[in-house]
Amino acid sequence: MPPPDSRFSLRRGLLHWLIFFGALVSYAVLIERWLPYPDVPNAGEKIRYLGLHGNQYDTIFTGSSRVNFQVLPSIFDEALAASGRPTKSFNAGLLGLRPPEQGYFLDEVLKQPRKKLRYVLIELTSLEARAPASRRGSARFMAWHDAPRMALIGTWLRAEWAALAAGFNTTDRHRTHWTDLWEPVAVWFSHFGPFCKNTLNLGRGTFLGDRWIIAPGERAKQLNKFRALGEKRDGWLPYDGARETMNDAERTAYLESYEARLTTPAVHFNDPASDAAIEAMRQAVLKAGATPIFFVPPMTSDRHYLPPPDLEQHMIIWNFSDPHRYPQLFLPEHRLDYIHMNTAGGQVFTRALAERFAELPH
Amino acid sequence: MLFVEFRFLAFFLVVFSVYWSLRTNTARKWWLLGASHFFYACFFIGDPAVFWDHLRHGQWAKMPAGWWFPAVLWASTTMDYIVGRGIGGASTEARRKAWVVVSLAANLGVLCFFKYFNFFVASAGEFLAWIGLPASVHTLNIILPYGVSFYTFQSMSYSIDVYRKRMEPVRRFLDLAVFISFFPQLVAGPIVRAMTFLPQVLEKRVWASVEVRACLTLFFLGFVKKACVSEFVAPFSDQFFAAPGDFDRYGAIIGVLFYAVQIYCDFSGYTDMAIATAGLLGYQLTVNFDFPYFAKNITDFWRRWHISLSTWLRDYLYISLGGNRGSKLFTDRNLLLTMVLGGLWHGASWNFVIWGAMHGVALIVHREWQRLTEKAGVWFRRVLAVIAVPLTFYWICVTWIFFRAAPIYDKDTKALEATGLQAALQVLQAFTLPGDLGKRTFGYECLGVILVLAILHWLNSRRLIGPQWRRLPDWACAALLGVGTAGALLFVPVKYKAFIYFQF
Repeated sequence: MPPPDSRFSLRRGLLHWLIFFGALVSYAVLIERWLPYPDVPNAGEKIRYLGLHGNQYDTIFTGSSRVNFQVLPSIFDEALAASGRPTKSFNAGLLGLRPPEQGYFLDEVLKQPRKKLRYVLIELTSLEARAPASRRGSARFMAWHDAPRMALIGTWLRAEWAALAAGFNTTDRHRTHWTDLWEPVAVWFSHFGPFCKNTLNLGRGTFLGDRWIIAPGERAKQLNKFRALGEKRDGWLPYDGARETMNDAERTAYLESYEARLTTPAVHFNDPASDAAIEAMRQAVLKAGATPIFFVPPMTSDRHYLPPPDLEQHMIIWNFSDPHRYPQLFLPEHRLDYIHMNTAGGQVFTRALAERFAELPH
Repeated sequence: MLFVEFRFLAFFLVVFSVYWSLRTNTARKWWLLGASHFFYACFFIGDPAVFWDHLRHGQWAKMPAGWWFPAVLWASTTMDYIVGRGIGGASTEARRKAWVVVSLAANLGVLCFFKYFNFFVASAGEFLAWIGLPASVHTLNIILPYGVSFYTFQSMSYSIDVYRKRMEPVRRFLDLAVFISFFPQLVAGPIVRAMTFLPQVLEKRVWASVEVRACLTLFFLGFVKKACVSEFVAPFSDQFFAAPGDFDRYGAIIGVLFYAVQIYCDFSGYTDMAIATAGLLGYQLTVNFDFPYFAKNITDFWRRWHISLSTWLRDYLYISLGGNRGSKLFTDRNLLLTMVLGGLWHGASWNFVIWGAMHGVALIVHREWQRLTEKAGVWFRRVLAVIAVPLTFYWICVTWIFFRAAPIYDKDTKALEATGLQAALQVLQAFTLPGDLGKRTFGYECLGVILVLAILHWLNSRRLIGPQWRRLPDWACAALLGVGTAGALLFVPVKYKAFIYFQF
């Protein structure tokens, strides 16, 4: 604190800081409305493309690599046209897209022109709060940290603490220690920094430099390339050009997990934060006048997220993670590992999706 | 820890709060000294826990590069403290001179060893090979301590001023240590004179004399210059200088102009933030820039660009060499030598020597020009007044080409395509001669950016913004600064380039 002989007035100083921060945040929130979607690799291209051509599509898929690389809109549309129910679908999947980011990306997709949109097919996964360190500094990571998503992280923090608090009463080796309470807080703080940066639109104008560094003629060509949309410009990309099969070790590991699932079904779990994230996505799609359909892609993992019954009863959920019901989706020649399929597997999975879709009432 | 980073803001808030809450000047100085060394350590310490672990176990090989930088800083400070006391206590002129020679030899020795040893050895080897006497030369793996060019000059200014009897030697080591390691100017200036700064250290700073609003505004302007403008234009000049032969004439002009903008905004932005930070702690630093790109001639430019260095060179080098107290040729020699050494101060590389020499020659030519046009008519002077600023700016841009020159390597094979000098000549050709070297170019919006910046700069130089700003009530300033910050943050990169002048 300044010495008492100064002219400093704490109250006046605080008032001016409040005015400064108020103006800073208000103006940042105001200008955010006019800013284009950040130039995030793949995601930016998909949003920009939908901004130009979104009115063409009646069905949109969204989810992680299990959607981006395993759902082929061309095959989906072909299969449904053959069954007398023509569709025009778009793959808005992204590598590693899970709630809360999934909800943000879905909101951005729904902000684009969507006159014909009737169905949004959403991969059902749990909320991921502990993001890998490799992702944390990226522009994409920063982009989804808005207020609704931070509220979900807050829900996650409360749920974690509640679980840890329950652990105080146990006497076994899983007993909670006071220091355990810090870890979820540290995770929350790892989101708070990006939230502040994102709220203040840090670096959101630098895309101008990226554009102006290219001559106008070349710029138009580059803006029309849409590499992330694939050859057919439907948003589908093969998983990895060079990798279509499993090696021996991967095959052995996969077969082990597959055998385990044949004998023991996967455990279903849910948690308040994931439930809230899924419900928010459902509401967003309904608000957009479309029907949300959730699906679990074919996986042999021992745990899957599924919403609790009170939420599930309002949802359409297709669970493809059942090797007894969908054996063709689990054939080793269709797999890359226990959660991913190759292109051939993706085609089979897309047809399975189309079959379920054809069963929907018109 | 860069001034534009959030962690600096957090650091400064702690320093500021504790500093003004301390009652005695001595306590404040100890606090500033500790904070300055913490700030300095942040540049090389890496993970503090790992650093401490290595230090505790004496694992010197695992220590981060440059962990010994503070030792050089302390050695320089201690030596100049002893020299100052020595000069003060010397009974004869010869002893006084001997003491100051010790200071100069030690400070210049440190600077030469760390900054120029490899350069001189390699250049000597190349020279010997050129005259047909190839020799095997060995360079050392030397890392340049951060800020060494700045704090050695400050140390020397103290010794020389004490020697010249312009000031009394300080009695307490703490005062000199605070002067030399004061964190706002430690790493990249401005080069503060002992004569102007030490009296401030000796006297307790008073909060009532701090112009908070002016300091915050200056910090904001510095932030905008560095974080928005300099970082925004840097990729353009980087791309151009990496392959000047690929660009057409418009691209070359934008590339060079953007570099001129980048270096000015980078360095003057840093200085603005340094001055503002020091101001909030009650200290006044030297003004370092005065709209240099509106200089009417090259002499005027050096009165406006990096003022703390140019006046240092004038007072301690040019005047020591004899200044203009001799024949015309003698004065010209001193000018050229001062500018060449000033160029060399920026870095151990021939491109800086050429840059300094170009300025030296320009200063000599300008002196002659002034003499020849002394009795010119009114119309001639009017025409000159119109073209003087753009002509000076054009020459400055030409000299920046050599300042920025760097070797060009092939993108794929990493093979050397052009040496720094060859690259500079290629840029010079693209910038000054008609015709296109290549087809690549930049968007036409870049010209708009330059025009907007030039207009804003001109308005500011004509003092058309400042007085209006000062008339606003405090709450309006706070709100406008908030809005301005929100606008500025749009153009702030997620990761910064280091300040250009950190490398010097």
